[in-house]
Amino acid sequence: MKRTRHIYAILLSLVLFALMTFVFMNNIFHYYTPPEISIYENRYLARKPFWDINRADPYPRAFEDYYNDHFPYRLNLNDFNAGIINYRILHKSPYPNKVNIGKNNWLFFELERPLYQGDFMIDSVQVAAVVGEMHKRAEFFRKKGIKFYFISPPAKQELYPEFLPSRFYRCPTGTVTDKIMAKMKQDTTIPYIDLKQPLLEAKKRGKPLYYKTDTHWNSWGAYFGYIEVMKRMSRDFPSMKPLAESDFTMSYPVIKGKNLVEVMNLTNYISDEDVVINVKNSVTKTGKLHNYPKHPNSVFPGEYVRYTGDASKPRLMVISDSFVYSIMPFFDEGTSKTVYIYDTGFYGTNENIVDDVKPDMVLMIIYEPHLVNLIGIPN
Amino acid sequence: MLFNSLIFIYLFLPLSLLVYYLTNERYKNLILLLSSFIFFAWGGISYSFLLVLSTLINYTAGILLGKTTDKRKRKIILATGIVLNLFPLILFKYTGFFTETLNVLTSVFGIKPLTVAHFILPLGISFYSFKAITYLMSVHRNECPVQKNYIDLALFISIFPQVIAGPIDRYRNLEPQLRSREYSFELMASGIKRFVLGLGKKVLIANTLGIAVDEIFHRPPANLGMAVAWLGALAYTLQIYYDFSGYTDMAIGIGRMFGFNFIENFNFPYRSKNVKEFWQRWHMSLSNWLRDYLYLPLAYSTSRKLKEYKYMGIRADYIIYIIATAVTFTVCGFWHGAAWGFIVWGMLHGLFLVFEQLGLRKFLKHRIKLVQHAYLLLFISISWVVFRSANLDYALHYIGIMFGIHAAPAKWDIFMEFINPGFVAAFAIAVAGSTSLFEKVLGLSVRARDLQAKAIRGLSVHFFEISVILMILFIMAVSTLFILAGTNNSFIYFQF
Repeated sequence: MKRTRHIYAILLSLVLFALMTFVFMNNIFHYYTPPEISIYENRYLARKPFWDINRADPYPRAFEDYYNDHFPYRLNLNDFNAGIINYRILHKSPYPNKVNIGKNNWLFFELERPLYQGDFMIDSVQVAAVVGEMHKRAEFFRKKGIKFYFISPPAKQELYPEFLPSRFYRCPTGTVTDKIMAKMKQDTTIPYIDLKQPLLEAKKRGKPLYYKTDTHWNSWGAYFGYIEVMKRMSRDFPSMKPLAESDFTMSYPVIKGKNLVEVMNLTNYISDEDVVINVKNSVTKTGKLHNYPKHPNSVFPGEYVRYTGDASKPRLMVISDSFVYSIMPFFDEGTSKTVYIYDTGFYGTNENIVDDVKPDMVLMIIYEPHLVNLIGIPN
Repeated sequence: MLFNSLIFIYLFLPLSLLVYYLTNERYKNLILLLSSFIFFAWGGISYSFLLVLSTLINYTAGILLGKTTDKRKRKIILATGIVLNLFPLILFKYTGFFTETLNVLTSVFGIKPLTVAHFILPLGISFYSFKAITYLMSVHRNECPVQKNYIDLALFISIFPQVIAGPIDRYRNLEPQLRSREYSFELMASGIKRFVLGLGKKVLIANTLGIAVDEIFHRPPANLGMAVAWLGALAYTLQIYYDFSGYTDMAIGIGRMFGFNFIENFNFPYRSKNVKEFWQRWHMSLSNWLRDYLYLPLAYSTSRKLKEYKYMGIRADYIIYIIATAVTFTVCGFWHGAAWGFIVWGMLHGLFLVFEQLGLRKFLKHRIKLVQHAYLLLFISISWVVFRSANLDYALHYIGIMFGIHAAPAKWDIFMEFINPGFVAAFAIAVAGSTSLFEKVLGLSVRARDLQAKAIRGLSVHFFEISVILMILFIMAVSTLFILAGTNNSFIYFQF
């Protein structure tokens, strides 16, 4: 009996030791080569840090990031953990610190929750600073004789709170966005077009406005946003006529779950319904890119150019974030030329580009939680 | 570096073991000391000099103590050593708290508030400072000889399994082991089992419960609800036990892998029937430290001052007990953290120990066991609410909601959202593993346990041992999966 136990003690010691050495043995036997980019995490894997005695303190953290990222089969193991263990067996989000599963499988971005619940707050000086930044932009375009418009697509939880998990609550004293918008409305020089109420009205018509599995609006949401903008634009440019619902068709193919599903690494498990627009008799063509310098970190194209060739229509420049994609097909049709600039969350005036494009009007689209980016507070 | 990190389990530990066992017996302590310094430096290279300084101070103080027999000089050396050990602890851990408290008091008189630099708390400072004091006390009390080998003393203070979260081992326990240790595969295997068990307790149970606990204790009181408040309190009661005892299990397990036998720190504390018994089972290394180096000296010195049998109708021994307990548990609370919540938590424990001493324990003794356990668990859960809450005001509101004092709807819909299969499994295993409920439910009376033991003996030894190995591998694999999930660092927009 004693001898048997001794043998099993050796066996357990050897098995565990072999398992624990499995990772650094990879440096010798190279049985696993990690990719340079983790597609589902949307980032480069951490690189091996260089030892520098003058910057010793950050080294352990950086090395640990590198070591973790290059753990053999990390992506496959995380895939298994997310899909099988968490989603299938435990029926929960594998990364509740990033994405929450709400009612009817609607997904919500956890990092936007502090804004919604009021855990993320800025003081009145900072609120004034945000509005001041927008005021500067409005003044800049006014001085150049360019019509300027500004919209801020609401966060999904503002339009679909009924699908939020019950444990979410809206800040009873108002969110940062509420405070910024209230202040913004006091500044009559800022041509702010409020989309929240019109979108809530549109929601009553039963149209899906946002994706269940994405933070963004879909083509319907973008369309109703576009209509509100056009009400204002057509006052300044009567030649601009908004597209009517009869001018396009929508189809609803089933697709793999979108960005929130990707964050959870569950694209093989969760699907969504897309909203694909097809504009009837479209006259829009893709224009030649100007190759304006884009932010070095951006993986997205910095610009898109569309034109109809109809010189009677005004020229539009749109400075935006990713909320631009769904709204593009609508604006494309009503302008002579539209240049879309995606300046990776800076929402700058892009003066050089403005001077080059010479737009008649500029539309700025800032996703509601990103308003604080204007004063350099990342949210 | 944390025990439950990939870099520790899959790089540091196996490499340290490999180098350690390949090294000549003579240099094993040196290798372990270097490993410990690397381990500690991983949490902040700058702060590791503090640990080195602590080893040098205590080594010098020990040598000086050994050089004199003069009682007065020895007392001075001891006091200086203790002060030098406590100084960095007070500086780094408590300066902010003292300044804030002082500012609140002086603001009444319109005095401008003081501002001090914000210090980052060095890892494990509360543990290794207390450990170092045990060395000086042992030498001062002539319990152990002076350690003339710097490497051995430095290893005692900074040995990596204990340096972050204890147990606060006594010098007299480790001193013989620093001189020589025995190695066997049996000890190694038992260390592995203990380490993996602790890893599972921390990663699979405590962290799973922690997700719900963090969210519940983050909710404003108005959005809590009675059901959710109770869920949070009970889940935290289990989380803190599994978190801490899991970490201790890992420390003890690692110690065994290197041939050490560390002291135990937990002994099923939630099976206690009163607060006194709880402290004999919970964080035993700390409670014994406080008993030996604070409570008993305090009680002794107080007793020398009280000459009468009674004071204002109260027996002198009760007064001694009250004073010593109050001070000890206030310090105990303060040791846990520099905030009023921790102090009140400690004082609450002290208060109930006094109540028990004054008659509550006698009263409970005559009640059925269920009542005794219910008393203890109710008290402990409430005290943990004070411990976990962001501030005292929140804790009071929270407890008020638990007992219906602050009217709030039960919020069953929110409650149900926390009850996912993973949480339920972790909660159920945690309850089963920390109380005697599991044995009671299965009807495992003493006789049944005997029968079970016979049955196990009747089973093939091979079957039993293989099952244990498979179970260890299973816990290790699932824990690794859970830790790996923490390395997911997805960006919704971009991070290229």
